[in-house]
Amino acid sequence: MDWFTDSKLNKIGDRANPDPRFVRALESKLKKEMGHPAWWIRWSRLGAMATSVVFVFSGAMGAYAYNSPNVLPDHPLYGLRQALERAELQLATSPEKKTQVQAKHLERRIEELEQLLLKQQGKDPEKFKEISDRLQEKLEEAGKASAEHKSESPPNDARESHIDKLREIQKNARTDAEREALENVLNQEQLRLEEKIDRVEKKRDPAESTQHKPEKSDR
Amino acid sequence: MDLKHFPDFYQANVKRVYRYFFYRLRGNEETAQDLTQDVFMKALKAFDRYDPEISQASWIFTISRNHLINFVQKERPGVPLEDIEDSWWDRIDGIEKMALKNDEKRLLSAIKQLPEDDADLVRLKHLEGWTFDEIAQVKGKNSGALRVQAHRALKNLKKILKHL
Repeated sequence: MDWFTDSKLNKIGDRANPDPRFVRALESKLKKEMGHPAWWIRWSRLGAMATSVVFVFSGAMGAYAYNSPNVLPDHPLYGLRQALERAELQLATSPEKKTQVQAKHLERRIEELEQLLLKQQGKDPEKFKEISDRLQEKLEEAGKASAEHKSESPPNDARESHIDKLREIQKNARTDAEREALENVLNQEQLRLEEKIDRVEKKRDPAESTQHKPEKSDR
Repeated sequence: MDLKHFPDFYQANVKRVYRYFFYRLRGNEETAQDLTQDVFMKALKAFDRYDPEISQASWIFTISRNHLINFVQKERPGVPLEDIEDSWWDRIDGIEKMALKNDEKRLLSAIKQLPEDDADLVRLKHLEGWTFDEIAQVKGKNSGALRVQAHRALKNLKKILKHL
């Protein structure tokens, strides 16, 4: 057959083709009958799966960022930790809860700075000094917050553990500059601790408070 | 056959089944769509009995043919299948609906002048898109013989076109 007749016959055949919308609609109907979900159901299922994966991954990443002691201010996930902490603060309903959350965050900042000090030991003395100054500020802030909220409890373990940790860092200091920077922080913190102990003991028994100093003050 | 192959089977045959109905229903798109849908629904239910090694497309062709006979018998009782199958060629409205060009109309007129068996073969092969093997199965003939017959039919078609 010559190509002309062949192409004419094909053209006539094509004119009797079904509407593509009909072909698609019937295909969907048949797939539904087969138990195959329609394309949009398949895509929405895939979308839901992808969203779940993203949620699980974000959740795991968020949990890591929030809880891991390795996430310090120089870590890429630190921004996420800060965002989560801001959200946590927003979610605190009562002023008491807000104060508790703020105290918890302050405690974490102090721990982070301690970790940073450890990381910075023997590296950059200026950076070390800068971190120890920031640590001193945060400790002061924590002390003020504690006094403002009139906590009548004795100095908690956390305060003591900070002092112990700083002493440990100071003991392993590589340079005199590092030792000196920590000395300032420790002296300040020691002073605040003693003041707090005095305050608490005065409230308990004003007469005894002048006679006994706690063991910690001998350090 | 496994149901997972049904979508491919559908894609391979939907145009041919639709064209089969469209041509025989004088270009009535709506009815052609309804019958095409019925045929594939039937095919889906019986797909586990379909063996492509044995029947290829003649299976769906036979379902389509039987469905068309039942449909026409219901609509116009007593009309023979040959009349149904060829009816659209005699009706101008079927051709009009396809918006054919003049040379295409000439070609269809030339096909009509071929002997009935040759004309049927040309329509099945070239207009509806069935393969020689599939036509051979449905008609119970040898596919090689059909190729020869089609070749001769097209030669005749060319001669007829020259005199039109």
